[in-house]
Formats: sequence, C-alpha cells, structure tokens
Amino acid sequence: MSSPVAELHEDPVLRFLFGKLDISSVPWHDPIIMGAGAGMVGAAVLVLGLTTYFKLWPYVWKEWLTSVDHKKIGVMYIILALIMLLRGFADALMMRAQQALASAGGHGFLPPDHFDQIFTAHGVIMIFFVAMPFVIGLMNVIMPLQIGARDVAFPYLNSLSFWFTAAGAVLINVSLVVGEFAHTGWLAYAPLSGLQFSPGVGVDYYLWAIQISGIGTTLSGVNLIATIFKMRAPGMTLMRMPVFTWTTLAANILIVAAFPILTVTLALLGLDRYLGMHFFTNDGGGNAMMYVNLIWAWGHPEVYILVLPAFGIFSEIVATFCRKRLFGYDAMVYATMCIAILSFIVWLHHFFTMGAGANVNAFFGISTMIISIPTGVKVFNWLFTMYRGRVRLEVPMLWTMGFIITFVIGGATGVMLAIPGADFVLHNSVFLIAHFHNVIIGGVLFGCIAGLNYWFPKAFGFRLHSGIGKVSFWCWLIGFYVAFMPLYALGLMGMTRRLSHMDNPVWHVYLIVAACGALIIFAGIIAQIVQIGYSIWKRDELRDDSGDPWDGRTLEWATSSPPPFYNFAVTPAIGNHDAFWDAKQTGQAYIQPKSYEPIHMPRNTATGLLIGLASIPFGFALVWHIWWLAVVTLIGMIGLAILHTFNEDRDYYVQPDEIKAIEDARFAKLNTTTEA
Amino acid sequence: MHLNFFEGRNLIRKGLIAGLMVTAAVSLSGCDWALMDPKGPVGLAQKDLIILATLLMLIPVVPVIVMTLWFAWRYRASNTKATYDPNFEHSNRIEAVVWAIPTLIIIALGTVTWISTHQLDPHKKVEAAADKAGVTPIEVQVVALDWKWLFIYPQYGIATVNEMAMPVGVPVHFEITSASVMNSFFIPQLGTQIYAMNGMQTHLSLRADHAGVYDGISANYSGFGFADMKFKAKAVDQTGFDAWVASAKASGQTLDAGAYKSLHQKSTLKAPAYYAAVQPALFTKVLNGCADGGLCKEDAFNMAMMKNLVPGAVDCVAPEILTSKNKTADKVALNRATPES
Repeated sequence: MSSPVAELHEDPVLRFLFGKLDISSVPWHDPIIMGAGAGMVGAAVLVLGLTTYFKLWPYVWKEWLTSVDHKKIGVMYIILALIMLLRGFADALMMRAQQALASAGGHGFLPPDHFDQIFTAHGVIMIFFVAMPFVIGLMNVIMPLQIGARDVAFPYLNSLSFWFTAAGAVLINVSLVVGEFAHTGWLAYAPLSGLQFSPGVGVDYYLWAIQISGIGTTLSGVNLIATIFKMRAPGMTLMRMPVFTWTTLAANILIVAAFPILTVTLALLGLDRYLGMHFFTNDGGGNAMMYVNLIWAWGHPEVYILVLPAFGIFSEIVATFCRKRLFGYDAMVYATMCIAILSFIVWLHHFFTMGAGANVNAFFGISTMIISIPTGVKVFNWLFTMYRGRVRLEVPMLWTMGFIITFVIGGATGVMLAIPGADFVLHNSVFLIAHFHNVIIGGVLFGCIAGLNYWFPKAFGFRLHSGIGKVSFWCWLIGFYVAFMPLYALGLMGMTRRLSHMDNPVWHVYLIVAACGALIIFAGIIAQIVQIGYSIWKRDELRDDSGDPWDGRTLEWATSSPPPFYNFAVTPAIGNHDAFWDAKQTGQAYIQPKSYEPIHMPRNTATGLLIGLASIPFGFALVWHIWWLAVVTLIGMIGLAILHTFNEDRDYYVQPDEIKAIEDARFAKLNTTTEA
Repeated sequence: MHLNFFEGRNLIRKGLIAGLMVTAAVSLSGCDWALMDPKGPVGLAQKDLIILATLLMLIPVVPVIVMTLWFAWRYRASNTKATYDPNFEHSNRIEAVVWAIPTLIIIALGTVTWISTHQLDPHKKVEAAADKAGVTPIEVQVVALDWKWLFIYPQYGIATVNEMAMPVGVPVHFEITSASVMNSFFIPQLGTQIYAMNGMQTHLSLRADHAGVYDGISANYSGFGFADMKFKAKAVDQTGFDAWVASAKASGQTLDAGAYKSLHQKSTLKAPAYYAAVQPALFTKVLNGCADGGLCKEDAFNMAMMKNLVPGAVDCVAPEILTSKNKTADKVALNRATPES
C-alpha cells in the first residue's frame, strides 16, 4: 500500500530542469502498467509508422489534422471517443475482475492504491473522454448539416476545441506510465484531493487533463450555440429545427452555463494544491463541502449535457425508422428545455447525506422527480411515434428500443434515489452505481452507438454492416443486464461502492455474475470494432450513392454522402422540421440547380493543432512543477494564437465551375442508382 | 435462492427483470439483503419507502416496456395490415394523458417524499421502544479516522474503536465528525447513513429492536484503507450492555492526547480497541482540530479577532501561535509520510 510521493529534486539544476520528475516516476516494477504502456506506445508507433510507410502524411495533414471542416473534426472527436472507450473499458474489466476475485476474502490482483486509480480513471475517462467527445463529435458532424449551414460559426475555434480535448486525453494516458493518476474518485472530493491527503501528482494530472479539455468543451459550446442561432438556412425558424438540433442547442447552453463552474472549482482546488491556499482544506478556514456543492453544480447539468443530445438522436431515429412524423414535436422541444433548466436546481440530491435539513432535502428530492415528468413525456412521444408507423428493425432502431426499455428502468431507480429517505440507505451503494450506468449506458452510450450506425453512411458514403451491428447490440444489451442487475441486488444487500476487497461469500456469487456481464459487453465492443473494420473492407458492397440510405426526413440526408466540403451547393429553403421528407413528397428533392453561386469557405489552419499540441507539455510541466517548460509552452500557445490573428488568408470562394463539377458527378451517380 | 433468481432471469424477458428483482428482494429475508432485513424503526421505514417507490414506479415502467415491444411487433414494417398513418403527429387527448400520468405519479411520490423526508430527518430523535419508555437515550460521539471508527460514550466515560454497542430498544443519538477526510457513517441494517466531515458535526438517531451484531461501514471512499474501515455494532440487552461497558472500563487504557495521536495516524486495525477513560471534551477538540494537543481552531479564531480589535494583542499570544505553527508543520509531515497498513 503505497503511493509515490513525488518530491522536488535536491540538486538545483535538476530541480530547475525536471521539477519533481525523475527516473523513478515510472513504475517500472508494475507489469500491468508497463504492459499497458508498451501497448499504447506500440499502437502509436504502428499508426505513425504505417502513415509514414504509405506516405499518407500530406493527406493526413491536409485533410484531417489541420482541417477546420466540421465533419472531419466531428469524426476525429468520435475516433478519440472510441479509442478512449477501449481504455476506460479496460479499467472497467479490471475493476469487475478485482471485485469478483477479492470478494471471498482474497485480495485480488490489484493493491488498493492501484484499484483506486483505476476506478477514478474509469469515471474520468468515460465521462470526459468518451461520452463528451462522442456526443460533441456527433453534434459537430450532423448539426450544421441539419440546419443547412456550410460549417460552424467559428471553424478555427472548432479545431482548437478538438485539439484541447485530445490534449487532455493524452495527458490522462501519460499519467498511466509517468507518475500516477488521482486515487480520489472521479470527482476528486476535497479534502481527499487536497495536498495534505493526496501529495502525489495524480490529482495534478486530473486537474490539468480536465482543465485543458474543459476549455475546449466550453469553446465548443459557444461555437455550436452561435452556429445554431446565426447560421440556419432561410425559413428554418426555431420551431422548425430538427429535434437533434434542439437538443444540441440545449446541451450547449448547459455547457456554457455549467463548464465555467467546473473550471473555477478545479482552479480553486489547484490554488490549494499549488499555492497553499485554503479553499477546501481542513485547516486554515477551508470548507471541503463547498467543493462538493460546486462540483455537483456542474456535475448534474453535465448528465443532461450528455443525455439530451442522445434523446435528440433517438427522436431522429424513431421518426425515420417508423416512416412517420415525430409525435408531439412541440412537446419534445418544451420538454427538452424544461429538463435543461431543471437540471440546475437538483444538484443537492447527490449528497442528501450531508446533513441538510428536511426542507432542503425534500425540495431537492421533489425538484429531481419533477424532471421525470418531461422525460416521461419524451418516452411516450417516442412510443406514439412508433404507433401507426412502419417500424423497420434496423440497427439504429434496435438501439433505440433497447434504450427505451433500459432507460425507463434506470429512470425508475433514479426516482427512488431522489427520495431522501430512501437515498439515506442507497446512497453510495452499488445500487447507485447500477442506476447511473443504467442511464448513462442505456441512454448516452446506446444513443451514441445508435447515432454512429445511423449517421455513419452520411459521413463516409457507405453503411456499417447490419448483421455484425446486431451482434454488437445484443451483446451490449444482454451484457448490460447481466453486469448491472446484480449490482442493484448487491446495493440492497448493503454493498457500498469503491471497495477494493471484501469478504462475503454471497456477494462473491453476484460479483462473478457481474464480471461475466462485463465480458459479454466486451464481446459487444469487439463486435463493434469488427463491424467498423469489416464495413471499411467491404465498403463497395455497402456503398450508398443516394445520400439517403434510410429514407430520412431531415436536411442532412438531402446532400450527398459523404457531403461535399461545402455541404450544400445551394442553400436550402425550409418550410418544416421534416424538410427533406416534405421535399421528397412534393418531388422537390434531387433537382439539380441550373447554375451555382460562389461559396464562401474557411481555409485550413494548423494553429488549433499546434496550440493543442503545445498544451500537452504545458499540462505535463505544471503536473511535475517544471516551471520553465510551463512558461515556454504558455508563451508559445499565446504567441500562436496572436500570430493567427495576423493570418488574413483565412477564407476563399469556391467557384461555380468547381461546384458544378462536383455536383454533376453526384447527379450522374444518383441517376445511375435510380436507373439500376 | 440466489441462483434461482439468476436462472430465472435468463428465461424471462428483460422487461420483467425489474419487477422480478423487487419481488425477490422483498420476499427474501435473512441477513443477505441488509436493506430488506432492517432491525430498527428507521431501517424499517426506509424498507417500506423503497418498496412503495418501486411499486409506484412500476405503474409507468411496465406499460412503457410492454408498449415498446407491442408497438414494434404490431407496426413492424412487414405487417401491412396494421394502420399506417404517417402524418399522425399530434393528438390533444394523448398529449394530455402523457403529461398527466407522470405528473400524477410525481404528485403522489412528491407527497410521499415530503412526509418521509421529515419523518426520516436524521436530526429527528428516535423514540424509545414501547417497553423502554422513559429510558435515557445513549449518547455516542463518532469520529472517523484514517481508517477506523472511534466511538466515545460521554455518559460512561469510555471510548472504543471499531466496535460499538447499544441496548436493544433504546434510542442512540450519534454526533458524528471526521478527523480526516470525508466518510459516511452507516450501519445498513439500522438505516440512514450520514457524512462524517472534518470540522463539522452531523447528527443521527437510530434504534436497534433486535439483538444482534450488525456490520458498520464507511459508505464514502476515503483513501487506501477504505475497504477495511469497518466496525461492528452490537445490539444487546441491558445486562449485556452493562457488561460491555464494564469490559471497556476494565481495559485500563486511557485515550489521552498521545494515544489519540497514534490513533490518528493512517492505519487499519484488525481488532477493536477499548479505552477506560477519555481526555475531557475530546469530541469538541476533534471538531476544533486540537485533539492531539495543538491550538484549537476556535481559540485561533478568537485570537485573530482580538488582534484586529486590540492593537498589540498579538504579542500576548505569540508563544501559543508559535506552538501551533510547529504543530501544523508536524501534521503535514505526518500526513506526507507513506501510509502503512
């Protein structure tokens, strides 16, 4: 049981050059960490090597790394999310294995200091580096297409946001090998996360990974709100926006309102740790409970930042795959905005056990339950969209049905936890763990994978293989129930969360079942990877030249797949929230315009990439107290940002000839498809 | 019994799982299902509350699951006989119903919440059992340490670590704080947990109605020794309780500043410890961060105030402030040391 306490070097030169960093910062003796580190480095070398071998660098640089195209950036967000899903899930497997092995009196294979880092990393990675980039990625790819825009409002800012998020993810992965990660739980409650109780660098990695990616998220929120408010196609009034765009708007308003709270809270914790201040310490007048309040004032809206876009995805899918207009569009919109507002007045339900009075607890309990009213309305509206529809059980629709069934169970247990009297015994138990996985896997993750299957053909021009997608779905669904239903039971048996070992033969049985569930989910993830790989291999068979593989309803299906970089050759005019469906009904779809106007487009820039890259050594330097490097990289980042303001060659006009060539090719393909 | 539950789950559609689980949970008794087998009035009320909430939530959950499967089957694309109404997007009647059903359920649950939250307020003192009317409640001061539980019985002048006892039927009033990070004081079979927080005190009142030895845990992660931060709560008859107090008295150990200081170090304990005597006002000193002999926060605060009020007052207290500085330095050094188990 030990945690490396990183100390500054004694020698002034070494201290200046390396701060706290030395050769023993890497846990050379730990085979699990070294194996994982070697795997990560190996994978990175392989990718870089293959890129070099196939001479792909100019393509990768020009088309991806420096791209400001919202579709490319969105895809990169999703790739980041999928990679980090593997890391976060590896942590989940280790936790399940540890608890299964160490529940009958043994101590398992992970000592507490390692187990504690794993459950912390699992939570942080899954929320900040899987769910967030997945959701933001889907919003990035689809929302501008749905509103008929050519790009987001601030394309360079979008690129910068992505690279900040990626930099945070890199820092977390560096912490696996160099030093340690926080062992505080995913919200790093003070005073445990203060210098007194966590003297190592783990919490510092936590702080800087989240701060850097959090700034990216906030900027992205500003960007997407501006896009929705200022860049909608003519005729698209707010109440004609597709529901996914509405939920994107709600989520981004929440981001802009809530993420600054997170940034400030972690900044205060950082001041405690770096400058000896006393915001949340035990001594010196600090109040640790203020941290708990502040972190949840961000934390609860965060849940809705993730799940509202997922609701939007399901709304699009259910209408498309039932070939029917979404039932109760207005109610959906109002319900979304109600949830967004209510999400700010429920944070105290995360700590009813802090000892607040009965009136306070009852207020927050009831305000929490009230959220289930608009949520319930949404569920019924999806059901009544299915009613009298033509339900096609394609992969996205399966995920949607799996979601509805799973989510209502999670919602029900959530309402139970919202009753303070019941929460007094269920709080912090694995019942709670089962509940939030029930809504986050069943809601957010199912939504993201549904969205991936639904919009993949739009982004790449070919579908994902349906059979393997179904295998993945069933593994996830069954695996979820096998993994988490035992946790509900264990919670009622009095098992609390975050136990690295225990001695209870009855729990042992349930924990083994739960571990098997995690393995079934693992099979689902493997199937997901195989599905993507196989579909890329067989892309010609799965190709869709129509741009509209599912007989879609909203504007993103009106353009080709993948869309041209300018999205729409002619700005569409909108009369309804099912704009493309109506166009198809009235025969106005697929009509090639006679002539084209020049299109105003942003130019690529490497500034976002470079600033993002510089933020990695910046964060690393702050973690290890290497001040010269922090100063140099900070000046570098600011300098790059200033330098970019002198770049006046940021935009250009696509000429009608070029547009005509691209569009002619598309319509030629469309006509062959129709004739065939 | 548990195996049956899981075999059953593989056979029955997932929609029924929640209902099945609750039925199983309710019908099962015995010490496996701690929250469904409460041993005192608080836990009992919470068990009923959980069951009531579950049943109320099944009202919307079951129909939604059934409707999902039924609509998907009835309106499957291949079933051309089913009505197809592609523009059916609004119905005032359905909208009214889908807003009304959740609203009514939440009104019912909200009422239950308001009443139960006041009834189960941890600040509220539990009454004695009928046959113990008029008996003096037991006062217990609880201190969460890294990673053990200290129980001080001011009425008896004793203290114990990782073991507490109470007479059956008699209310126990807990005052809870932490000498370290945040923990949560929880005896699952007696109900309600409450946070133990540094520099603050929380209140909890519980009663055991059946004799037995119940597991006590910390329900809030507090560091490396967290999994071993357990205690036993013994509910015994009055004779047994008196004997337990006497045995603590017989231990001969005194919990003075030195003993507390060693207890305060990061460690986990395999066996409980007993103290026949406790330094005066230990709990208040823990709250004030001076149980191991340093300057109390309250005093430090008063001195700081005095310094502002009376110029030169700082000179009067300088030696003590100096002492406290040294103490703080000690403490930091202590906490930065590698934890041991």
